Amino acid sequence: MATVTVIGLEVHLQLKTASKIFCGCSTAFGAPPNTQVCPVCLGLPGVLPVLNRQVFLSGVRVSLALGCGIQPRIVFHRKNYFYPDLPKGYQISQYDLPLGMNGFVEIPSGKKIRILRVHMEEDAGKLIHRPEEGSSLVDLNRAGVPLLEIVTEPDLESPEQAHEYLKTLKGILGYLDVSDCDMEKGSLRCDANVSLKEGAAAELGTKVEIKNLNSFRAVARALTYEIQRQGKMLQEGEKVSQETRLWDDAKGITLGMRGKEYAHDYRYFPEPDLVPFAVAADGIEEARASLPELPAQRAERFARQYGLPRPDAVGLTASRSTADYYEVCAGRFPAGKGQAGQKAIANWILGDLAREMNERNLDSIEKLKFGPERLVELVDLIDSGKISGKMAKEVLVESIQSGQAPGAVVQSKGLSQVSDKEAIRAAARAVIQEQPKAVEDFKQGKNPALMFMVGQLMKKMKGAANPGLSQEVLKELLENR
Amino acid sequence: MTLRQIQELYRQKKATPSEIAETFLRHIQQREPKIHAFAWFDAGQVREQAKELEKAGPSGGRPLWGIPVLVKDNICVRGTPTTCASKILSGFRPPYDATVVERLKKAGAILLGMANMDEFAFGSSCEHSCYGPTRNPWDVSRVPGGSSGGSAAAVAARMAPAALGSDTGGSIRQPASFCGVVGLKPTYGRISRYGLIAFASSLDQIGPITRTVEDAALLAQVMAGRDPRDSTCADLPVPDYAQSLQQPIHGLRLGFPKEYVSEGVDPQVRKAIEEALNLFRKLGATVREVSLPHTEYAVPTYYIVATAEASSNLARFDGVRFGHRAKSGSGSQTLQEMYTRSREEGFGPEAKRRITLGTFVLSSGYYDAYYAQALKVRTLIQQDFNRAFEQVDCLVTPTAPTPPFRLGEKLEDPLTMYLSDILTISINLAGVPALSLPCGFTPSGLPVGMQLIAKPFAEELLFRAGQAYQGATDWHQREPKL
Repeated sequence: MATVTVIGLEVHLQLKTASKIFCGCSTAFGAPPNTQVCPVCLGLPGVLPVLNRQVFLSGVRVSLALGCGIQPRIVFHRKNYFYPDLPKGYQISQYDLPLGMNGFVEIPSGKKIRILRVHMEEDAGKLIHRPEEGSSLVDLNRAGVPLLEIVTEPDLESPEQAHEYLKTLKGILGYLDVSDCDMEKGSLRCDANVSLKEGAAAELGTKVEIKNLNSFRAVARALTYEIQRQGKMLQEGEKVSQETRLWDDAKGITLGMRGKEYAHDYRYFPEPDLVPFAVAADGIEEARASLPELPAQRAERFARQYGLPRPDAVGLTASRSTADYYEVCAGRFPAGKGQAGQKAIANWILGDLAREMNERNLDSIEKLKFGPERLVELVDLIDSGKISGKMAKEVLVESIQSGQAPGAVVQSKGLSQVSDKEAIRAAARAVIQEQPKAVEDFKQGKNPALMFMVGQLMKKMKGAANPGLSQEVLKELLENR
Repeated sequence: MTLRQIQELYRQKKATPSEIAETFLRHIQQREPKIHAFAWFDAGQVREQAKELEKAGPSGGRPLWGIPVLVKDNICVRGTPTTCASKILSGFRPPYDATVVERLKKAGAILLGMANMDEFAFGSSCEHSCYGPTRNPWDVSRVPGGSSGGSAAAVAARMAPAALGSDTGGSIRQPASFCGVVGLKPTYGRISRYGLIAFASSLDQIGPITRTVEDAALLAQVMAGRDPRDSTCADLPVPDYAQSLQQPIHGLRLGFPKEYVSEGVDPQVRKAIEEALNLFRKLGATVREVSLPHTEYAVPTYYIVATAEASSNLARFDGVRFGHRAKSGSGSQTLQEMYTRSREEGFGPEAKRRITLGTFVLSSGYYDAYYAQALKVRTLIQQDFNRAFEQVDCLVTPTAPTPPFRLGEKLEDPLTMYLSDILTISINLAGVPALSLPCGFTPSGLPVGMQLIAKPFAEELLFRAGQAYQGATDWHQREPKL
């Protein structure tokens, strides 16, 4: 029977509020150790937490954007355990009454991934280990930074789906502007639960939790590794044990954590220092009404308004900055170009621009230093016949590298397209002379032969020939022979 | 001297803050060796504060100008050792003032020092202190009660005209009763807990210990009211307590909960309460019997809720950032060893007992049977009080079932010790305010206290009834021979 993979993801999202969840300290990243602390986040005796209202409001926005219902009464719990990065000896979190419950995220393949819960909690500090001195230092700048924990149901069936889910989730969060969502800075962190079961109907297998996943790629790689590891164990009749494993990105393996980390009894109980409060229903409706247009709705509108194929619309709207970029282009596009022009813009964004972003490892189109007005200019250059589509690709790369506008690149590199019919005719004659076989094929009615000769002509003219004109001239000469 | 008397001296320019401070410093010098009420004390700092107040003058808006106040050792005073009478907090000087301390300072009070207590407020005798026990000024072979034993003993011995205590299950009222002084446990949420080192967060309240009801009202007036740093502190206006003191109690409906006499209450205590009720009748109040049917469950409920919260509140004392850390012996120690040894060395036996109890009742598999159940019973106890207050304005009970017991008498028997709070802990579970005031003496000269209980945020009523009672009696004017 086929083995079925069952994956659930837990995302910890740092909210970019100005101050921490229970005190007024700054949440800015990268300050010198222990400079953004006060008696409250240091857990000194006698001090008390006071909830940052903005954290609650951001939590409500995220919950609603993920289709969750909002808990009518907000209660915090204490999660008790000892660790030096946890100054109070307990983390203030939410337990059986999370802020948001029962939502979903639809991934591009159309599958709905159910969201079990969204809850608020405080982040812990960081330990800096100094093995050469046999000691560890504690930095509590991060202690008390607000987190949302977003937990899926075990609905993901492959590492690819997990990756798709994370990208979609990040896209939605980007629209809400509540977090930097930067895995490198730890503002978005992910733990994965994975198990294998025999056949779709079978009971869930033993779950393994994977931690230390520092990029979406690491999530996919670790899951792939772990699925193979567990599959092999099951094949060999071994039992998978319930444990937490750490992903080693350099070695590409997961390793079991030593000790009894998972035997914790957290002794949750209601946090007596924070008074439970009721959430006003009209407040929720107000928050819902103030949500921005989210990726799914925007994709629908893009398809409708710009006549884009659905995959293009989904691709363009996955990230807010890309979608905004597209709309600026589409808006500035000269009237009368119609949907063909809007499709061309989409192709450029999803094709060449996406590739340039990938090559530069950029997570946002804004960082590409090639603003929407430049793309419009580039497409205009093609449409007016000044450069060929092929040349445009070079102009794009050059423009990104040099920071020059596309028109300026064309000028300075002398890349202007040759539309001189006589020059093209001369080159065409030369091609016909050199390629008797192709000429013969063309006469036999084989159309690809014509395209081959256009290619040869382009080569002769170093890519500067107007492709439409070249084809026209060649065809004319061949037919009139 | 009471606070009112000191204020009168200042008003008539018959004394300066320095002279008043010197009077109390002299008392401290004479009596502290016998009583041992202080956890920390610095005469120089007291004199300095008095001088500064003199320099500034008795300008308006400073209702406690030149009034010395002793602070319990679990209420943070900036830069002053605040240790909860525990070795684990040795050397800890908070970089901040508790809200109440901030308000006292702003009102012009002179801080006299830190008062001894049971470690982390765990106790009813002031014997569980890393500084050694405090003694009862009326009989130094007896305990002053606890946990605010140092605060109550100092006020009774005239080493301080007023003190702050904290009350989680009776820790202000029971020592006030044992020492023949007045103690107020305000409504939960009436006074900010910011800066009070937590024992049980849902039960703790700071309150005044004074010689008269009038003085308690004066201190409460300064300390009460909303604090943005404490979410559990109520955003309700604070009435003018001085004005309510003047109002007669004619027609006041008093209730006597029948369950509060069946609990092994000493006959001498019972007699004093009966006499007090008679006096209230004479003053125009009516008295009727009421019932608080869930009283018998209060002790177990309390020891589950309070220890559960304490086990979590005391987790921060781990040797990492402040207080006592065990020295590594030969070679390095693991993190686990550092935690275990620091806590083992730092906490006394009663603290360990309560942390263990609290950890147990919150453990998975036991939570529902203990903690969840206790929360339900707590609701029933609250409802008992709600119902009683539909029938009467104020409840009258003894504060403690017995007069003060001897040092060491209950030390080896925690259960008996826990029962000495039997008449006070329901009040904390219900969150209602209660006032303890002296209502007599045993033939051997030991003080007996009476407890007045009102509905939430009705401290005014307690002050009114207490003031009327003190106007007609002189128990509070008696002085221990020292």
